[in-house]
Amino acid sequence: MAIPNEFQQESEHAVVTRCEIDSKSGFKSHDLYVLNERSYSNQFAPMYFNRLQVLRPRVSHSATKKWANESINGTKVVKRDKVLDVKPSEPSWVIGTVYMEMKYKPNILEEVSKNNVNVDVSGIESYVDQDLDEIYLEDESGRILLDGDIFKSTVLCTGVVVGVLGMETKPGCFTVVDIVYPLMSAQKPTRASQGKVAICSGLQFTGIWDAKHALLQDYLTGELGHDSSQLTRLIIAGNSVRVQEQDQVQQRNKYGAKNKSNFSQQSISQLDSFIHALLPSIPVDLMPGESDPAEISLPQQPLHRALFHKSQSYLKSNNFNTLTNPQWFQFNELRVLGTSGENVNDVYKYVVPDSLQVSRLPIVEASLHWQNIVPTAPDTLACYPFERDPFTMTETPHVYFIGNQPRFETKLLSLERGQVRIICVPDFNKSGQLVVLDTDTLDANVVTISS
Amino acid sequence: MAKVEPSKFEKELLTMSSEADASKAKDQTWGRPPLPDGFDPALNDISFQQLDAEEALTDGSSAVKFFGVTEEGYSILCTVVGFLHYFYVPAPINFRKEHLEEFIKYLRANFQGVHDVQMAMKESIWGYNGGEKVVFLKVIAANAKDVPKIRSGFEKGQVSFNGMFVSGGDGIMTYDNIQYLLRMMIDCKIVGMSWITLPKGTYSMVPSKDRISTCQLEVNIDYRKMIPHQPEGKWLKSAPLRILSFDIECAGRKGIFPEAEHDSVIQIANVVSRSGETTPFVRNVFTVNTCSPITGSEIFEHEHESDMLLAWKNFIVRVDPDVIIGYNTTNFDLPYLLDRAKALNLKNFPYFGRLKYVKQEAKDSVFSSKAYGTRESKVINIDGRMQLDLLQFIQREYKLRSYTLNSVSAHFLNEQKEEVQHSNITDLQNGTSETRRRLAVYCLKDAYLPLRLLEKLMCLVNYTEMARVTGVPFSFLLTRGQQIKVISQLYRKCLEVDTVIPNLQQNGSSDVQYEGATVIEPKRGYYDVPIATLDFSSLYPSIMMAHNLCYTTLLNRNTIERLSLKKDVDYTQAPSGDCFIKSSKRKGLLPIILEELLSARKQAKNDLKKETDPFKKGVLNGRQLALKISANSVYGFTGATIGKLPCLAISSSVTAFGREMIEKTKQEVQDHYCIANGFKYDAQVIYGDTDSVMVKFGYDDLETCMKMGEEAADYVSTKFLNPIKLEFEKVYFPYLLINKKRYAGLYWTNTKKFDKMDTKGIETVRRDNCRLVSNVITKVLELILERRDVPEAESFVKQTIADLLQNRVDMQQLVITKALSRQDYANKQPHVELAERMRKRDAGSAPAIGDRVAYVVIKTAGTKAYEKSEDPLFVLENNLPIDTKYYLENQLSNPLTRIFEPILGEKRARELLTGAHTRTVTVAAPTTGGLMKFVKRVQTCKGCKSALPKSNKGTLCPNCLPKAGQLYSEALASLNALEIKFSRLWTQCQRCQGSLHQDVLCANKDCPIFYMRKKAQKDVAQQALELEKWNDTEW
Repeated sequence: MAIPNEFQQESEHAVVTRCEIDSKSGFKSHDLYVLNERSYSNQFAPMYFNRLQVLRPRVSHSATKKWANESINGTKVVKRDKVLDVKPSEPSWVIGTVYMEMKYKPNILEEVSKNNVNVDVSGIESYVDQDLDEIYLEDESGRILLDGDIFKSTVLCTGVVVGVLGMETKPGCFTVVDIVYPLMSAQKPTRASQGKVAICSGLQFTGIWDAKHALLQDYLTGELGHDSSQLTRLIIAGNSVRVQEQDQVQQRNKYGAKNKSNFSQQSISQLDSFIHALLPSIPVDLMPGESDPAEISLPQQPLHRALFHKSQSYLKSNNFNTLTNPQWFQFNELRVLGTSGENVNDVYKYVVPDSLQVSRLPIVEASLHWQNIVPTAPDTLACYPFERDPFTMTETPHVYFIGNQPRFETKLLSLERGQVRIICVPDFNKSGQLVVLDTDTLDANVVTISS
Repeated sequence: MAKVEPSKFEKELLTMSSEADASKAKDQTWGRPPLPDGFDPALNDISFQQLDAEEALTDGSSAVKFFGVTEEGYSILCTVVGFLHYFYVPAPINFRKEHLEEFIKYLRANFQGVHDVQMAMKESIWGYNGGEKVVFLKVIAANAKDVPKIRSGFEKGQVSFNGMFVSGGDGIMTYDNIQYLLRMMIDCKIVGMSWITLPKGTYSMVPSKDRISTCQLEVNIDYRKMIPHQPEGKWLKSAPLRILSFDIECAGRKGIFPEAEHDSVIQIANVVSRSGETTPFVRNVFTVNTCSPITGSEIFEHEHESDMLLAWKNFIVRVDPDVIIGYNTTNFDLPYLLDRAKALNLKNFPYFGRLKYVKQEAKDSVFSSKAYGTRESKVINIDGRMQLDLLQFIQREYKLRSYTLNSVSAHFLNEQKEEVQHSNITDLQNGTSETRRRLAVYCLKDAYLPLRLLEKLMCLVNYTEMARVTGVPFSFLLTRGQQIKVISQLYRKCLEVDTVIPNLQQNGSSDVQYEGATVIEPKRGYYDVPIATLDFSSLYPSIMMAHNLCYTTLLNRNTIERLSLKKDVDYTQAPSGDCFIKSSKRKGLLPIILEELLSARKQAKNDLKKETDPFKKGVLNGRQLALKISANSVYGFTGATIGKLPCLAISSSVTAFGREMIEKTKQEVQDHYCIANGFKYDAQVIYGDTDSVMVKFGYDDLETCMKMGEEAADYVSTKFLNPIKLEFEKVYFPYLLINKKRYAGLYWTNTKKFDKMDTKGIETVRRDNCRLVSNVITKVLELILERRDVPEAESFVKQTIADLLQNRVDMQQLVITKALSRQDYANKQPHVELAERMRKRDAGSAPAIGDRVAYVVIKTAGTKAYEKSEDPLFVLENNLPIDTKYYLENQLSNPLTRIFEPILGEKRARELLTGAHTRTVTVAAPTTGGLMKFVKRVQTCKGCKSALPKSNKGTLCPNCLPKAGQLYSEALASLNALEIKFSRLWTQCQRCQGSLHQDVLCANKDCPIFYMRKKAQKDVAQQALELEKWNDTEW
């Protein structure tokens, strides 16, 4: 089936070039996620509304293609425009946003009612209660409860726009037999680029010297004796520093505000020195992560340049960039999308823990199917109240990497309109590993640094 | 715009409809089961539970109409005829039987409606006079309405028969003044909500052309033929009552509370269930204009409002509810519907009672009671249907911070609900069928919640039992005070023993005071050993029983001398001086009533233990509660100076005995449990109040203390008259005794685990305090009593005070609410003044009389307390500075000092409120008004707050640059905290409203995160700007 015209141009507006091109790698970064004029008078509904508006025709396209001639129990299925137009016992399909009601989702109303203030909810490992959790499909008209065995084998979370096929078996409850996702957004036609890019995450400098970091530095500057001259850039994908528990307590005033701060002078200086030592050899792109002294809500804004006393002189030259999380990169014509990992880590909390073993690839794959990289914002991830939803993909990248994952995994994912190299970048501090991406072949290899 | 479906609520609706019927909601049947064909009154008994009763007139004679339901669920109107009203006057000394005929003639000639006069031997309830009965004249009238005139004829001395009846020209006392309906029920031994059997052949069916009601059965019977049943055994059951709960929505104009003359009713949601069943069998919404379907509920769309109103009226008649409930239906929904119908000139509308020809009208009534206070309310006659407004019920039975449906359901059902502001309702109505659906779901939820509350609080069951125990009709329980319940019982008892009750003129001298209960001066302090509590169970009732205190046993000097009675042999003298005859001579009526109540309670409690059926359990529990409340209200009745039958001799004797007993208990315990008697310690009574004493035995383990408590209770009980009994109930350990009626402690009834933390008179529940106070106090007590960590409690207090002074306390916690009542306050009150100011700003959203006004105290130029109150939302919008000092000094200071002083001593307790942590103060700068016009804004250094020269680059002065990283990180951390808060709060509201795709509209001010949400929005924007200032700062 031909791709309708309306989907061909959609990526035009999305990505705006900011930086000059770095001659060596053909590198550009894009400021899609930079917040300028802020307004908090919005609520979150417009984000969901916009997400549904953008994705609904694309889901409709997929659904029509897949189910046009479908029939259930001998009855031809029909399309219902709104969730509440679904009729009892009529095989039909309908499009909407998934909402998951889950027992262990943090609930601030409950906390406040019980007089527990400033509860730290980041430690929750899973929201799942298999017996009580409920999946709803929602659009502007209302919501309907979904059930069906298909959900046992499908990765889903709040905020995903899907089409479901099935019928209302009990009042208000729609039994689903099949699910479709939005039509994939187009990729840029060419991806010509030469060279190798190193991607690491979870450096977790604490101010205390560690041999791993020195070895990493040696590796990146080519001093370990192998040919690192092919490495054209280093991307650091979040969680570069960590604040030790004991530093957390130091307060100016004993009775002052008790907000959790991710700042520690020692840690950040150490990171600065590390980057400074690399910069003569290799350009560095630094993305913030949840443990870094940056804004926590997504999209995370670049780390303040003044934190980098030594390295900041390189900022002007495009050899050192402090970037947002998520972030779009461009190496000549190769388009790369990366995050520091909390998007995937949060979706993981929606999934029955054992069903995935330890692999995060199914979630990453799913988010490409969903065409949304942070579906759970704002439901369970803090997020700026956008008018539009910047996390919905209007362009599919050639490479999609996710930082701070439990282990290195990669896959060349084939989708209906192209292929995407997906990479789970391991936490360096735990694994001692980084990933090297060949921007020509899209091969991704793990490099283990060990002493 | 899209619509919303609260997910939880929707799920409930789903479950209901799937239980009721697999897929179709259209099958809801409204009508009652039809009467079997060929029903023959000559062959069938009818037994029904009477629910509502009213006085009526048939053929010039008074009659009583009972509305009821049979076990099969048929509705019935039973008119009981033949019973005539009467009262008594004492026969003059020289009145003889021969005079009777002529006297009747005389009366008939002078007064309208005199039917008959009979002579009877009766005795006045007032005072003991040797038990002699004397001749009374029973004056009987055909029409109860004529009784008051005849009675006042006697009382005003207008009756003069052969020179008799006139005593000093003032007239004479009359006896037995009680309304006809109760008189009839008392004489026929019918109690409220009881069953009546009409044996076959004794009653007549009203021919259908003459029927005046919509009931399935309409019958007449003579009062001597029917068989009333006492509520016991199989007659404890309840008929399948139909309960309708409804809610209306009005389309108001912007800023004006809906007025029936102008603003239309746009939706009415109804839920009907049968008592004892869990699922309502009717769920529907009547709407004006179209409305998208709601799962499990029927929608009835109407083009015009008048069509909808009439359709609703027909629905009511068809579904024929026995009970109509709702939230604030009595004062809002019902009067509004009636007024609206009038405005639309719908002449047929106000006929949804069971009497076809009786129009429903709303009348104003003022209800005044010592127990419940003065309240204005409407009364709507919906003949034959009981009304139970949950708002009124809850206001009567529970003391809460707020009585909005939101906070009540949050409190009892643990559910927050979305609230749509009045002004938004019109917008939703004028939108699409989907926005109207959103409104309908909201409306339906408001109709369903009262039903859930009714079930949860067992209102119907408990009130039914109360009606049965006290004998009054159900409707009296909501519309009348405490006294009528005692009166009903007293009359019933008097009837059995030929006693009559004088019609005392109420002279309203409420200032007469008598000494109340005693309080043993508390030995204040923090006790780290177990404190046993010994309680007198049902103290006042048992005193009245033990000493035979009653109207009928009260003696005066003359009688004592006349009958030469001996003190302590024939009579008892109370410590207050009044004398009462002993029960060996004559048992008082009040003691008899009390004995019956208490033994019935014991019975009910025993049955409760054995019962397994949850519904019957509920009934029995309601019954024992009703019995307890009734027993306790007898004492109050005798002391109610603006009452029907006040007798201070009784009430002051009761308290005098009580005082003596507490003192005696103290003495006995301390004399017995002492080192001299071989105990390890001298026991000490550290406090005692009304009916309990707190004993420190000295031992530091729970087990010994509990054992000794039980022993002591038994030992002391032997020193008192039966049935006075001292009981050991609990141990407090540890125990913080702050003052009279102020204490806190962990409450133990077993040695394994404490039951709860118990507090009295401490600011944890008081409504005129802000939440901060109760939160802090609760936490502090938790730390002191449960964790036994006083230093932690201190540092918690310090941190809280620091947070308060530095504006970090959530504003929700600072909101104070007070009810706006109609009285003119002598002094200007903060909430009254604020309501006035709000009215000037926007008359529509301003609080009305009866509402609770929410305010916070702000810093103003004025110093008077009433000038400093402000609407929390207004404060947020304009960034007005909170008067944190007020909260510290006027709200927190006293309760905290009270708690900490006994533990830390005066000096250290004071330090808690004035220490170093109070030095840093942050004040919000208002964005508008006053001096702000003249203020020049200057950038200051984020580190040291010194003014920065224009030439300074960045946000720090050169001196502070070395600290830049730290300072930046603090600004960042505070933004992050706010960003998370903002995200979580607004997301939470979206979850609660059940929709992601549309904006949150909820205006539920009782929700704990309502103001927090607004404030987070403001704060995060503010802090984001702050952080932006760092963009150009280099360090």
